[in-house]
Amino acid sequence: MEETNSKKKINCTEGSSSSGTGSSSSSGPYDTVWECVIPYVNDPRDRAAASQVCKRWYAIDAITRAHVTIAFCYSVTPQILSRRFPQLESLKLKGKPRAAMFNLIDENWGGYVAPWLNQVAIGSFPKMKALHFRRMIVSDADLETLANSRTGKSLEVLKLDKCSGFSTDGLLHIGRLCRNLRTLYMEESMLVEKDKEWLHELASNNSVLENLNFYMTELTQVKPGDIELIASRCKSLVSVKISDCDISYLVGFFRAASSLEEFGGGSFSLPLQQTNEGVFSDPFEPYAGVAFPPKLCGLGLTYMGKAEMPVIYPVASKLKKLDLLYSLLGTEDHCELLKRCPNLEFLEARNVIGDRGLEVLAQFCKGIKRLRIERGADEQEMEDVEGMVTQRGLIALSQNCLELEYLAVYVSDITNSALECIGAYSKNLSDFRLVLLDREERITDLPLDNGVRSLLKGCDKLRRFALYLRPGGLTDVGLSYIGQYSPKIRWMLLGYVGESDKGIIEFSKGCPSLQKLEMRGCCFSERALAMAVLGLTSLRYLWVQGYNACGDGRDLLTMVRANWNIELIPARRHFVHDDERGTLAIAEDHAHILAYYSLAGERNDFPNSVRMFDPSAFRNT
Amino acid sequence: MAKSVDYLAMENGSYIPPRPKHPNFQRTRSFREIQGIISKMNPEVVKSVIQNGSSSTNNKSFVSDFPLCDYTLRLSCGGDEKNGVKYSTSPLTIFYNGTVSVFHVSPQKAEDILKFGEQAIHNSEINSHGQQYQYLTQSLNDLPITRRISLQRFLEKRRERLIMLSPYYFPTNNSNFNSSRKR
Repeated sequence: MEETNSKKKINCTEGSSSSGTGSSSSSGPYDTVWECVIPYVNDPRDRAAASQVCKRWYAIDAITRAHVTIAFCYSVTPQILSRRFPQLESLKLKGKPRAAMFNLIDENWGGYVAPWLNQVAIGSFPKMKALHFRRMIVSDADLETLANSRTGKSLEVLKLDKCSGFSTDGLLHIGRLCRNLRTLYMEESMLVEKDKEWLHELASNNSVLENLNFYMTELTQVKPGDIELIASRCKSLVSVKISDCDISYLVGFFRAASSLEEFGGGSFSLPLQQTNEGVFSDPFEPYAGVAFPPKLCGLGLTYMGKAEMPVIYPVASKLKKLDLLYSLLGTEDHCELLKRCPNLEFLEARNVIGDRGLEVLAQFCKGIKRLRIERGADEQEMEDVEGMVTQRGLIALSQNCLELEYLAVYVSDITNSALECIGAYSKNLSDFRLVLLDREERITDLPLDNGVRSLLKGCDKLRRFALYLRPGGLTDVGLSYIGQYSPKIRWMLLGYVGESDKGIIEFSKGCPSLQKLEMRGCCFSERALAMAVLGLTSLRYLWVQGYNACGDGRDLLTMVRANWNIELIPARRHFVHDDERGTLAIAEDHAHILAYYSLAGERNDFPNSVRMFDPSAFRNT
Repeated sequence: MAKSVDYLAMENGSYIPPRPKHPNFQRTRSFREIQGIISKMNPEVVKSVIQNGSSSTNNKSFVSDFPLCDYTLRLSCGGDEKNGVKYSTSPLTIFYNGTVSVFHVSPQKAEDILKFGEQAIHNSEINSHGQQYQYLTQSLNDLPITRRISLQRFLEKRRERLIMLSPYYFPTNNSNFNSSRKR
């Protein structure tokens, strides 16, 4: 780090107050000011810039940095992190590529928390209070190590976010020893359930829990009594999201959880069958006594059908967050419910919500900020016939809901004018993701070149962008537009865009802020991909699956450079059993390229399905 | 049983493969067609292919892998013919042009055959630009939009629930949804 000229000119008194840090005495009033200001500087980019001003500021940043997010765990080692930020209080680590959430990455691909937890356990981070691991492999032994360490005793936040590899045995240690936990989060983690003791341990030993989340896990032995115990002992309990547990057994829990603001999960049992006398019992009857806590403003109930929906009505007008992803509602039901939620800010639903549901949102929920519409079942008979989202719904939504900041949607049809509309109205949009489903053969209006350009030009706050189309969805010109008009976008997912290598080369001349790029189903050659990597000046992570792989991959040599790791997952074909058809089928896994900057060198914990790209293999040929 | 095609002209006593009739080996032309063909195959043959593949690999899913662009093939059957000692042969199953053929060959022969096949595709790709793109789009059509795991699981469970609601359903001891009502 270079000393600045201004520092050299300063001949200040040794005794100038420096907030009692007792640090180097050649500092001056500038340092004192900075030391007072720096606690308020939290954006990591600002911090990074400040730390490059001079050695002194680098040192101040190093000992005051409270939180670090490592976007890819193999970019750095635990030792480097502990030397750089020894006073870290909060750490977030991400492991497997995002594609792992879509079943595209082998379970044993990598992303082990062990080296990181070992570093924590030996005391390298004495102030550590919050750990967030996303898409990583965690073992029971890791959890035991953590629980038994000094950090474990004072740990306040533990998030095992879409992790795998552990069981309820590991949670037993956490529940027993981490008595300061405010947040225990395990949403969508794949853990093995051995017994239900862990929850009881947690309930017995913790009185400060605020957030408990094991939503979308396969934990089936959940005792309502344990959840109720947690609610009665933890007066600050604010958010609870659980796996399947009949809602009618949670009446006591809801009564005890007086501070609760958010609840998710539970379940509704199958409606009872016809009794012998031929009378159907009322499916709503067991739930008539459910009364949600007074401050509740976030709700999502699994397997909620039309008959059980009235259970939400008493709180609907207070709801800011609503999760209908795992409900059993049709299009009309969505419309009925959303009419009653004028204060809705965050909605998640499957595309069964339909264009009509989006029109209801446009009319009644004008304050909506985040909307995520996922893909429902493919089979016609499993979802409502109206359950499709198209340009009609998007236009109504964008014209009326001007607060929109996050929009992620699977559409069955799309037009350029819908995208133009979003560009014209959704000025607050910072995250936009569109996937064009492949069910319909004909799409009204392709290619989407002009619409995409209008959207990017209009939504000037965009930081995250995903566009997943089909061949013909975006020409090379359209792809060059993305490059040209994405000044602030840091993450992109592109699927089936462009027509030839020219497209990606032009694209790579733009996107000045692009740090992370994911691509799928592209027609680009390895040479073009490598050249694009060199063109994208901020790129630090690339993932590609499905590209024009011809030859032995030597064209990737073009992007070989210092500290740039290149991993390949070669294509495979294998027989699998097709459960639906009851026959054998050939599954084709296209090759992956994963490339990233790393200060850690090549990793050595990869499975057989992964190969490190070895430039020396091409040297003799 | 599928009819046998003398693709390799083995009966003539030579191993020069005939020129493929189509410039493109459209092995990915129809995923469903291939599925249909497999289901018409003799299940015993299919089983033996799978067993040969999985017996020496550790992976959870079935058969041996057929790397698409990797020339170091891995075929996990028997041994090889060396020093005059003949090792056992195993079935090599070939899908071509809507037909299925099964040959019993040694691993070394099988590797040679597959290498010939790979080379034929490689040469034809260089020769024909337009057809290269066509091969590519067909190949990339085998890259379906995959679903988020959490949603996939939910949709499967919903299907199970619907089955349980049907008038013909008989509950068994391990029905998941009854257990959610248990204390």
